[in-house]
Amino acid sequence: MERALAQLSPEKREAFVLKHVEGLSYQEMAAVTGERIPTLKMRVHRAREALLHVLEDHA
Amino acid sequence: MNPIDPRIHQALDGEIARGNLPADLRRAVERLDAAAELLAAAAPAAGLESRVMAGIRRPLPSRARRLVRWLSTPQTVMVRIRPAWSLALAAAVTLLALVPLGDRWGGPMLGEHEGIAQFVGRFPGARSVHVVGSFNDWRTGTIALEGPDHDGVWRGALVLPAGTYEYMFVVDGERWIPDHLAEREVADNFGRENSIVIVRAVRR
Repeated sequence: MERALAQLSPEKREAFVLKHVEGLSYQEMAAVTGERIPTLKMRVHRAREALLHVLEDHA
Repeated sequence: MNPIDPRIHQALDGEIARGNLPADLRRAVERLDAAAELLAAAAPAAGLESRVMAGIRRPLPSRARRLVRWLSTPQTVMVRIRPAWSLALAAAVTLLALVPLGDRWGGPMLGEHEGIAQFVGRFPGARSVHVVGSFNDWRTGTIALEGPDHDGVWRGALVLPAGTYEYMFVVDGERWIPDHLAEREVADNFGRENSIVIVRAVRR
């Protein structure tokens, strides 16, 4: 799992961790990172896609 | 990277109930949940970028907390204060909202498969603001927003067939600006991002 995370760009990794590990809402993520919500959503979505593909490959 | 079924994102974002997902999508959601739990249980991993951990440890600034709380109660803000933030929230909501304009409101008569896209932006000092997009073949100068009001806000509404459209604002006929309030955005072919508006048919 860490290897899968390491393959992500730092921005996507950060977005996934803040969203799913820290459990922040997109509004809170925007407040923490200074990024816009649509940007954060896109990063979280891309991170999920990448992780899911890795997880399925190793399922 | 192939995109995954959008319902997976919707379920993870709490927009739809997980119980309504087909079994295969539910498994995908559970896999990502389990992955996040593993990460949460693990000690800070050496492979993680310091920026990530800094982001996690960084407390939400008190000002940010106030803003978040502020944004979560839009009706109070909009009525009493009317700052630019309240306009941002109002625009984000109205872009995707079904606008029940009917005879009662004296509004436009809408076809069965038509809806209304509303555009709101704050452009202090602008002399003109137009909206261009896939709905008008990106022709500039054809759809002008009305304004500004005393807050520098420009507004406009379009009746469009239900669908998803990309658009941008054009300020003073030369500056192309994405809508920072848009719910979604997509990369264009010029290294920028177009805003997305989803028009839903008004139910009759």
